[in-house]
Amino acid sequence: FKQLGQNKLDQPGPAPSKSWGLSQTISTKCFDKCITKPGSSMSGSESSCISRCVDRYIEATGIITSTLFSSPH
Amino acid sequence: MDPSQVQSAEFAQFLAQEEQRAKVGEMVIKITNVCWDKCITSTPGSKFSSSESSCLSNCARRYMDMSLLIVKRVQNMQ
Repeated sequence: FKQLGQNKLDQPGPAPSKSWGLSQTISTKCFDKCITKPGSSMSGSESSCISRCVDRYIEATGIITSTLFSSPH
Repeated sequence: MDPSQVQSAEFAQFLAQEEQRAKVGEMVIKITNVCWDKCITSTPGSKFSSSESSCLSNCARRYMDMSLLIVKRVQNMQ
């Protein structure tokens, strides 16, 4: 997982760069999925949704990696 | 070959491999970004459903197929 995205950190825009860039992407995706109506504080269901979402996103990255790099062409 | 030439060749190969790894990593991140939106339509659960995980897998393959098609088509235009 450390090997992913070894690009420069100083690029503007949605360029992936180390784990910071990935955190940014996950934040956007999971905010969309989990925080549908922002309230005055984060609810328990919102924070467990975020936890699950982060786990799933990382799992998705693994699924795509193994799809592309372990099956014979 | 003197020692400094050998080191340069090895180092050049090392750099090429690192560049390759970085590109592969970039591609995985890009594809996950796109395929997440296509395949995960509801609130994330504690595990993927089988349709969600096959969608992700199919999506990655189709994206690669598409990339190849696009390269070929653009080459034919030149």
